Order: sequence, then C-alpha cells, then structure tokens
Amino acid sequence: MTQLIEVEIHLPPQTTTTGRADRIARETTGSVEVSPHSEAPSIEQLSQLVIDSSSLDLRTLRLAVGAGSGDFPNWSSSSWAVFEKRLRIGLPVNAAPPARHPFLRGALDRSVDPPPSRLTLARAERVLAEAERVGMAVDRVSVTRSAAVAITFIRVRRYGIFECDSDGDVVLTLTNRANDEEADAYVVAPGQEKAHLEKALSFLEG
Amino acid sequence: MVRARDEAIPAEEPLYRSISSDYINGEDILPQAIDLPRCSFNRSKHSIPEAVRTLRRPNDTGIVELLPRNLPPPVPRASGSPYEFFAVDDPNPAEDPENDAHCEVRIKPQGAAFSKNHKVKKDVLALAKNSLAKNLRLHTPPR
Repeated sequence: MTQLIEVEIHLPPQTTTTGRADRIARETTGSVEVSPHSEAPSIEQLSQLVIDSSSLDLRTLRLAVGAGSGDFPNWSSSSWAVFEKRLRIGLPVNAAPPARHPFLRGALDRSVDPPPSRLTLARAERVLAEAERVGMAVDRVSVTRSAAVAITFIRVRRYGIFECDSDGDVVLTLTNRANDEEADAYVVAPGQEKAHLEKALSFLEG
Repeated sequence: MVRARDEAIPAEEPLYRSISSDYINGEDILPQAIDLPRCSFNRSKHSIPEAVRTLRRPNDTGIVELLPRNLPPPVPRASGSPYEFFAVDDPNPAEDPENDAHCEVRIKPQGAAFSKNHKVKKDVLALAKNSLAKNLRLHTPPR
C-alpha cells in the first residue's frame, strides 16, 4: 500500500526575468499543502494563495507547481481540472471583478479553461452593454480555449462574432454560411463597439 | 516511449478535435472552436475519435473531423504572401505529454518556414479561423 506523503507547493516570487510566464510566477505568492495521493486541495487551502487572476496562466502554473514539488503520480488530468477550477473560485486577491452580464457570468461559470484577463472581460462587457443599448439580443457568450470571450449573434446561418482576445483586442467576424461568400473581419478599436455592432446588425438583417 | 514524428500526415487521414455545443449551430461549426496559428487535433492513425474527449474538457462532448486534403486555400493579406494551412505531426507535446496521437493544423506565410514567434494580424487570423471552421465536419454531436 502506498504511503501518503504530504507535500507543500511553493509558488515563489520571481523578479529577474521578463515574459508572460515569469510575470505570472512573480505575481503568484504563498503556499498550500496538498497530497499527491489525495484529491485536489480545498478552496480554504487555496485561499492562502495570492494570485493575480488577470494574468493567471494555469498551464504555466501547473509546470511551476510540478517543477517545485516533484512528481504527482496520482494526480490525473481530472485532479488538475478540479485544482484549476478551485484556484479560480478561491482567488482572494486582485481577482477580476464579477461579470455583470448574465450571459458572461454563465460562460465564466461553465468554462474550465484559463480565465480571461481583466482587459478581455472589460472589452467583452463593453460590447455586451453597447449591444443592449442598440437593442441587439446576444445569442451566445462563451470562453474559448485561448481565454478569449466570444460574443455571437446569429440569424439563421449568418453570424456576427465579436471575439475579445487575451491581449484585449476585439475582432468582429461576419460570415454567411448559406453561401460561399468570403467572410469579413474588422479590428474593433476601443470606443468603436457601437459602430461595429450596427455594422453587424446590418449584415445579419441583410 | 515517445513515438517518432511522421514526416507527413496522409491527405485522407481523419483528424479529430473535441468541441462544445457553444460552437455548433445546426451543421455549422463556428470559428471560435478553432485556435490559430496552431490548432490541436488527434490523428486517427494513432487513436480512436473518442480519445479527444477528456476530463479536462467536460463541456467538449462533441467531436469534429477534418481531412488534411480539405484544408482551406491560402488566406490573402494586404501585404506579403498569403497564409497557407498545413498539418504537422506533433506527438506528446509539452502541454499534452501523454498524447502520442497529437498533431496540429498551423498557418504560415506561403514559402516561409513556420515560426511560433510570427505575429499574424488579428483580422487575418479571424478569417483563417473561419475558413478552417467551415471545412470541419461534425463527427459526433455534443451530448
């Protein structure tokens, strides 16, 4: 029978290098005890961690944790999924403010992917707020694998898709799948959401 | 033991990827289901279609299929050579080390080597994602 061994995950600050991965490590401090032979840690355990969720990259975190604490032989992919989900739920400091739009809240709740950045969420909220102002009902909101927020308007097989990516950029794609016409794509500058929503509406109703 | 990388993926070999119902409308696969400039798939030569469903992605219960011969034509851009699609064998990548069926569909400027550091303009990237999504076929609908 395998003996249970308690290990401590340390996520030390790193300040000497640049780049996204190191920035995440630098902003991630604290420690939590977990067992490699048990289930993922509780939210209470994780609440000791101080994490800036706006830059949290769980893949990088996983590598940092693995490198710092040795092997986790009994941690299956599902254990990691639970761990990651709880990390996001338990984020105590600098977490992005809760999403206001119900579709966006729902998308964030459903997602198991890395959370979108604060900037991504802000741009998505702006698109959703402007859509309400111009009377456009959104059909779908989702968080993509690359931590973007996709806001989709659908009219039969015509699609207007605002993708708010992890850099905080927004791109509108207009595509009609009922024919072979080329799609159009537009970078939406901050403040230009309303104009592009109207462009999308015109396309969808066209 | 990690298997050796194949030089090429046959044009008729189905590639599979999991998908959530968020990205399907009738028969249409939406471009948000695609990651580019690199999009992961599993090769049918090395796995069954259902292997793309994992506990890490409980919402992705559907499966889409792509044949390399159905990769879209190059995506033009305002200046420079167009971006072309290609499939490349990529077993046991760092982000999925136990998956020896893993491969990727990527884009690169025509005539140039692929580089992870090459930045693609966001509007061109969106068009490329839409082109690839149009060429996917729904293999198994999401539950």
